[in-house]
Amino acid sequence: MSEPHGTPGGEREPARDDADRDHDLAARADREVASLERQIDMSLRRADDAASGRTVVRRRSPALVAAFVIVTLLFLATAALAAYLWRTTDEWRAEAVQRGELATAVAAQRDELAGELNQAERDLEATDNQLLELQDRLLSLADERAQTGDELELTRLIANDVASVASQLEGCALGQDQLIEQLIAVLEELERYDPASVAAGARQASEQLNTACDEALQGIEDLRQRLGTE
Amino acid sequence: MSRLNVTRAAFVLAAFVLAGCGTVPDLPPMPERLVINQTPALPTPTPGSITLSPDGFRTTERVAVRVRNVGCEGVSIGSGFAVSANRLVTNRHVVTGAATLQVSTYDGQDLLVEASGTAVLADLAVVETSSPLPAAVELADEDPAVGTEVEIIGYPGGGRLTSSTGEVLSYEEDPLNANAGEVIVSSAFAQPGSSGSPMYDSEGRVVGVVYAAAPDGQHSLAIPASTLRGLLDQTSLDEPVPDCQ
Repeated sequence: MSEPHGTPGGEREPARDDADRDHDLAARADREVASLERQIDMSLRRADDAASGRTVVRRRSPALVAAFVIVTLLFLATAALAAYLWRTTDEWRAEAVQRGELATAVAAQRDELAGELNQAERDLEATDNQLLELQDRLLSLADERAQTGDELELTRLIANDVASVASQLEGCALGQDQLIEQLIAVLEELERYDPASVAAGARQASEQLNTACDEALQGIEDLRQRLGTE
Repeated sequence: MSRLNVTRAAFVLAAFVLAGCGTVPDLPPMPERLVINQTPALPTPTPGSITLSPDGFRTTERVAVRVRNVGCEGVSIGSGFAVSANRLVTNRHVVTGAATLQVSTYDGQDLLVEASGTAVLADLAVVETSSPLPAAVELADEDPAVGTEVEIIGYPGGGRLTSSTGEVLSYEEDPLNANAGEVIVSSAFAQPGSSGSPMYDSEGRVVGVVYAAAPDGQHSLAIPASTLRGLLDQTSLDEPVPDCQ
């Protein structure tokens, strides 16, 4: 404590200053004692709480709690999204690799199949051409066979006609032979026959014979015309 | 920073994050596993009347037959087509005057003829065979409209199996007076020997029976399928084919 300075007022002034200082010092000491008592009291309470295992629940503001919850939720959502995207990326990467390998294999297979297809198309075209040729050949053979059948049937008909004409000619010739033989026989024994009746019989037989021979000649003519036109 | 300010900042951050979720595109999905070794399905043939035989001929060609009429005076040729396993249709004038009828197929096989009968109304005849015919053809339900594309398959001139195409030009009264009712006039080619040929539509169904070439020589005449159907619906063909005896 410093020595009080002298004042021009009188001797009682230093005494009052001392009293004020003492009073201030006492008040300060009281405050410090009260503060220490509070600290001691708080320390003792904490010690008691610690000894009894109780937790100290501090009362916090609801707004602060809500903010904390929201931020936590956002963090969790972001983390979940990041995890999902991470996994998706990995899956797509693996899939891309697999598809790339598959695309390469498929492309190679496609090239191979394209070659086989081209070859098959060429084979098919060749087979088609062969089939068309065979079909054409088959139709030609069927036509030739049919034409041969037509000619055969026609020949058979003509042969029948020829046989018929030949038969008529044969009848004509036989008739002529018979007529001649009969006339020779009559001439050899002419005295036994009436000349008039012989002549009449000969004319009648000749007419009949001419009719048959004319039919045979007509048959020949018809046949000749038929052979000429067909 | 006070507690109130911290709370406000948290709410603002949450609002931004939530608002951002609305603008962010959908999350990428997980890749689906590839199915490897897929076997492509082979196309199945659609059912139709125009089918191919193992020798490559169409049914419309296989049913066509060549009819040889061996008469007393000569041989004439016509065409015909199978309508069932043992029945074929041709023209009446093709089989008239026959001492014997001989039928052969597109591939040259000869068939045994059993009997034949003719229709009363039109120039149509049905011939029954002992030997089975290669195939049978389907008749159209309706007569072809004018403008319909048609095909005639037969043996014109008694030659090889031939196809000619054209379209239905009109329906006219029979200019040859051989048939009752109207007949089809088409631009498809026909000539002697084509008589009895089937006239097909684009689906391979018989829409008519060729019986003559038109007098102008450019067109063909055919009996409509409706008349043919009437003939085939007859239970018996009582009228025998006139022969040359």
